Amino acid sequence: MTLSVEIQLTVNGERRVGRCEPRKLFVDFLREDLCLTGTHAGCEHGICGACTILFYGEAARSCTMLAVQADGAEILTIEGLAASDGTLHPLQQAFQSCHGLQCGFCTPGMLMLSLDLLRHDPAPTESSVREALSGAICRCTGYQGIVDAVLAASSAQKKGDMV
Amino acid sequence: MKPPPFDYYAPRSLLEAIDLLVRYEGAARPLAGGQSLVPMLNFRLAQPAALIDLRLVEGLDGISLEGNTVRIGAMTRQRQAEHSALVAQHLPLMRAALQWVGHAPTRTRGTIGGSIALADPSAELPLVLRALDGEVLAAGPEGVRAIRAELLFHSIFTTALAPDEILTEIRLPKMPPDCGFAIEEFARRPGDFAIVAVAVVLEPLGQSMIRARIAIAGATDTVFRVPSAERLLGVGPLTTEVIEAAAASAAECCNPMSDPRISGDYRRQLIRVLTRRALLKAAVTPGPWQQPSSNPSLVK
Repeated sequence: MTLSVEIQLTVNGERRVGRCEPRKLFVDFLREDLCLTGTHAGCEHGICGACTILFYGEAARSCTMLAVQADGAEILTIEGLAASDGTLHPLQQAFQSCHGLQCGFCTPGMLMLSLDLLRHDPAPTESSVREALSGAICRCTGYQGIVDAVLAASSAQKKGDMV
Repeated sequence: MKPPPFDYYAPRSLLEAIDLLVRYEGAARPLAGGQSLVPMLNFRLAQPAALIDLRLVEGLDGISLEGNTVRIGAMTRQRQAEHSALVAQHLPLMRAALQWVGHAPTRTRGTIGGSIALADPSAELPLVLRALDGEVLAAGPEGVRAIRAELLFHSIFTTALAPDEILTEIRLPKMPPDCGFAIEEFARRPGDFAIVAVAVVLEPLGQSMIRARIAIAGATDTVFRVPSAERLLGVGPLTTEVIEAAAASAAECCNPMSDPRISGDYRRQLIRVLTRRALLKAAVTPGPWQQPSSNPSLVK
């Protein structure tokens, strides 16, 4: 049995190094080894989307990845979204203004998924927002507010705010 | 919901990876994107002695055109294929099918080769390989061999690949620009595995001759073609009666599986409905399958 592997990666622009068992899931590595607990572990089999992070700028689930598979990668997690002075990212702002969260458990995943969507499709229709968000589950079922928030962030972006 | 312990290797060459598979005598599994294997590890449905991670192996990804064949490296991410201009131009059926494969975040990590090697009977990429009469390359201790799609899929999660072979490449003949195609699928939620999926390709062969291909996933223990239905579609135009007959033939040619939630009869009905829809959709593209009445000069 391989006891441990070293993992070097860039998370939110910062070089990080860790060591863990190869069987450790990336979501657990982020939470336990890097103390980045904003990424949530929900279903742990790739269905609920709560653990979504950006892997080289593209949304991916951190519970269906081994930490060792992220060796060398560039990762963005929810902690990297707001500015260093705490100013919310336009998407976060939109989630707040549109009541895009209730209990907040799914929110980090929803935000990372929405960020990926808006980067690739800056002016999505409501149906493409719903299609994209079908990869994440909100058990409070506050989908209307979430969809409104993504659409609002998209309009804000059109007016010049960068997402 | 955490994976069991295993030995871990990330070889840089294919030979090294094959050596490891040989050394573990069938107890090791290659790891591609992990979008099925990691959940299976989490559930402990899979407990391999070792994982051979292919992410650092040189030369296993990328999409290229060689003559009439589109070559897709096994480790090519599904998302990469989804955004590939070559795939859009020459394999529009694969592009359409990729929209049905999981969700964007799983396609970021999931690979084309991984999905095909896993051989889930309801997965879309094996369906495309079968519909387009593609083949895969498998590398093992004896060298490299090509396996045609029709010989690759044996049963659920079971292929012609030996335990010490690695699927390295997918080869698909490019689709002629004048062919009609469609994929239709039914699942309970977006991104779920298909209960039934049907892929159809109509290719003009000159005069009013048509080469029709129909492949079905989700209904039995493997993807399959329906030659009896395909034969009914050999000569155009394809009237709604002919299309209905082909759909009925497809539905009757297999014995769909039942599970606690979905009966075999329901699957059979889905085959019929989805085959008909897919054929109607494919036949929207101009071709010998269309009825002369769609030519305005012939309409009285």
